Amino acid sequence: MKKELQSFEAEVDLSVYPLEAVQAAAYTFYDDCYCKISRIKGTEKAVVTIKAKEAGTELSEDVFFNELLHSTLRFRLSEKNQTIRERVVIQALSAAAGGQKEKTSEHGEEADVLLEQEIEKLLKEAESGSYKTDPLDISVPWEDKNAENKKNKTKN
Amino acid sequence: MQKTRKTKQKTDKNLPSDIPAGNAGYFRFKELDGKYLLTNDVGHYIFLSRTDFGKFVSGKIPADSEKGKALAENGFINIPGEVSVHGDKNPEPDFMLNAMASQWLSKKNFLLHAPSLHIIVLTRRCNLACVYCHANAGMQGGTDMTKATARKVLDTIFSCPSRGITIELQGGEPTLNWPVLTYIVTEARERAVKTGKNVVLSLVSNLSTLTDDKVEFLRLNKVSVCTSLDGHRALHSKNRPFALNSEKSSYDYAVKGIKALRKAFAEEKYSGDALLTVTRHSLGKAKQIINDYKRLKMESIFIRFLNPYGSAKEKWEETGYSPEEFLKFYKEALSYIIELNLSGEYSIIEHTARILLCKIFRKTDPGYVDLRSPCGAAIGQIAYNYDGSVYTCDEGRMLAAMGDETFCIGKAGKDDYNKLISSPVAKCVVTASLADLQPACSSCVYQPYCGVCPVLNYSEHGDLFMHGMNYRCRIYSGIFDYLFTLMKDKKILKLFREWAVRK
Repeated sequence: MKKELQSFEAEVDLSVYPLEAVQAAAYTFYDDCYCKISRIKGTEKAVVTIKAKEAGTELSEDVFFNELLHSTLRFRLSEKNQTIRERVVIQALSAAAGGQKEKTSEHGEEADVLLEQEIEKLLKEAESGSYKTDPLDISVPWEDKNAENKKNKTKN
Repeated sequence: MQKTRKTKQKTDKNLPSDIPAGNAGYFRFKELDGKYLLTNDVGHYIFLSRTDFGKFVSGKIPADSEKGKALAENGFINIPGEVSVHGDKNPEPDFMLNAMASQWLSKKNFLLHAPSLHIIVLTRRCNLACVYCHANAGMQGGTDMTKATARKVLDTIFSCPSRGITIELQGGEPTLNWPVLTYIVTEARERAVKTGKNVVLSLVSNLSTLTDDKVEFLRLNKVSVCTSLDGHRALHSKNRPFALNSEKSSYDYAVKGIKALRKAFAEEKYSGDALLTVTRHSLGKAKQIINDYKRLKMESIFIRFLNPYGSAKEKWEETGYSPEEFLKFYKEALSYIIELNLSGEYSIIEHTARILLCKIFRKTDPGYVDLRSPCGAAIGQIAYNYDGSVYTCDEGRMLAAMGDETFCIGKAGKDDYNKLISSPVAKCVVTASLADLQPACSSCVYQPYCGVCPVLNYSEHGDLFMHGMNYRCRIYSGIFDYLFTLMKDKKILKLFREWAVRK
């Protein structure tokens, strides 16, 4: 018996999900399915039609909406962090290519010296056991500290 | 990454008794063990009680309170002219922002360097048939690197602008291609003198083919050796059986090799660096494994989880486990290691914890290429296969062993160094490994210390970006949770700080 090809239609609110994210989410089905995206005229909505290429391909609208959420967040983060992303990637690739050869070695040495000094200092502290193991009293529960303060106040 | 919010300048005179919520810098948080853990982009952290956290976010924490000062000291709030980062008082309104920027750069110092780790696969041949081998190694011929290819690989490595270079010799079992191994080592040492580069050589070996002559060669040429030790004899041999002889025990060879190296490298105080790869067979045996390390007087252990890619993916049912199963093992192992250290009975350091603690406590990155943002692929490490093919990283090379060349960036001898680095694949991997762009990482409290692996993402989802919290993420999050929970104990905190400053 010939199996019916699975398909679904999902209506997407474009005020919630950007069109770029809708396209990216639909694209994740590209290998196994035919995908179509159409705008609903006069509305801020789009319809995504996903149709399996072969029988036996399992399709789920829920999976599409999860992909849509992922793509939306990726899109938003990419927009929001565009400047820092570009700067970090350019810096990383340019240092790797030796585009900043002199600057790289100078800063590298500086960073290495800094690291050595820091390790020296911390080692001395660790060996002498004189450093503050918990300078911020992170390990002391706030309630205990508060209790001490309260006690002092009461005494006063 | 989101920038620390610039706040309106306030003078000492009109400093409010409470810190307005608007003075808070960007932070991430998580409820952990009854408290709120907060971190910021430069990696400072602080624990707040639920009440204090509520006060902090609603701008009601007193500026002169201990917590108020601690928050300012660690860059979570900005009070110009009053308290600045790490106690330095400075009336400049942007002082905190500048101090944070400088600290951020120190933490990201790897962005100023060219790749320093160069991994060379000398052969795919291996006399062991480890149950978790990612590299699809075996005894098939035709996979040895030739001297001609090795020369081309060295040409590429020495054209890398990095002044400090680590060449890691890998396989298969790299010592099976001993003539090319000795060629690379000798040639690298000569080229180091000519170029003035600082070259570190290391060998990853199962130690089964070591002879006195080989050990002497490694000693003379200062080649450090790293091996695997998966626990006691039965477990190690089960995980790492010989391919053609089931009677022989690879454990005996590993132990014999460690002892020989310890003797040869006595001046360097070598105690034997070993990796413990946890398989399903190891679960429930944490104490037993640590005790075997103790018996062999190992000074360190590197507990590593299996990654579900390469050929390891095919044997997952037999060898793999869930993140929760691994974390249970890890906690058992680490708590026992801590117990032994604190009791003074045995001093041993666990490297996975040490790397994460370095990231938490140190001002500069420890240089672990697998766990940073962007990851080390192409900009921190490069992998060279036996045939001269070049990959962004060792993980990408392992995937190629399964026939997927996605992470290949060119070929040594054909493509020069700059062409390799500027390949579209390298650019994509660097961009895709920025934690700030991953939905699951962007708000994660551990983001300042962590990093993603595009190869693993690709292997799991067919996409370089991480979808949700994947396998690796769940494991690292669990380890971070455990470390931060343990830090509440002052004695453990002291031990962790000592580990973090070890070289």
